[in-house]
Amino acid sequence: MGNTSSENWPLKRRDIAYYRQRQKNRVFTALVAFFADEARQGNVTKKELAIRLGRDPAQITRWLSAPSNFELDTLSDILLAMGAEMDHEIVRFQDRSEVEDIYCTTGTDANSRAFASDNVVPLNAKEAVCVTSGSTIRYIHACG
Amino acid sequence: MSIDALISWRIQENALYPLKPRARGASLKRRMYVPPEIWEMLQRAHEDEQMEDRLGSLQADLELFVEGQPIDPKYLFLLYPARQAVWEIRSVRPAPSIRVLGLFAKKNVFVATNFAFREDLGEWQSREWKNVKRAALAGWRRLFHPYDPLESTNIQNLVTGAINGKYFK
Repeated sequence: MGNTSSENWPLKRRDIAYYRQRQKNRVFTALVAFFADEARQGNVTKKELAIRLGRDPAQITRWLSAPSNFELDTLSDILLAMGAEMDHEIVRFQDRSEVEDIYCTTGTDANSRAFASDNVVPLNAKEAVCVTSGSTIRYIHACG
Repeated sequence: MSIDALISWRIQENALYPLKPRARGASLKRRMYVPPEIWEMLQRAHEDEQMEDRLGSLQADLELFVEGQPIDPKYLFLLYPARQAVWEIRSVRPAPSIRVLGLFAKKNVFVATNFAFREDLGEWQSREWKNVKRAALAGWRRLFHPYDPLESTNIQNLVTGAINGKYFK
């Protein structure tokens, strides 16, 4: 996905479901990670959150258990109870770089290239493998 | 041959597929490889619209791992017995809940081996659970014998960015 030109309309059901879940996961993991960080620093516990929100502790546990369909109001309440709020930024797909498979197309043998990085594993003189490079995973299958 | 090299061979023979985010520009911080049965399920359109929704959610849930999002025990859990080093990724919503089983080849490198619908598995000591765990181990051996999976009950030895918690029974 990432291409929202009119030839892709109407949006596919799977893409809609994917981005909905992705959005939930990202918001939820940010919330849980923030709570875990605050708890580790001794700033808050689930019980204290429950008191601050006037809720049953079991409800707090449920909220922090899985990315459910809780509303933005609930998210705001939980963050407010921890003295925080969420910053938002909207990004166009077209402004993001594509994650790419990189294929080595030079005529040099793979080993010299492979040894240039600890993350590249040479298979033989012509092939090197699968590397994690910074934030992008690159697969180099056939060099030379 | 290193296990990285072996993974590469398995990719070349289409026995494993690297999971990459559908979303453009999503960054990859960890690696996950999936077997053909999961790969095809994620790639092919399903005739049932509800399954289309479900598979879109499953893909997003699996990508949470590769994008390096914080991991907690509600998402990743070490199955009993811990010495078998079989883990499950829980994709809970929407129903039906799905479990993707797999093992760690290295830190931050998860190899998914098989999946099951939670409703088919019953109680945690059931025969069905044993069967899917056996299938996971058999899948690992088929792909990586004689390499052993990375085995630890300390999540920090396996995943960068995991939230501390109890990841095993």
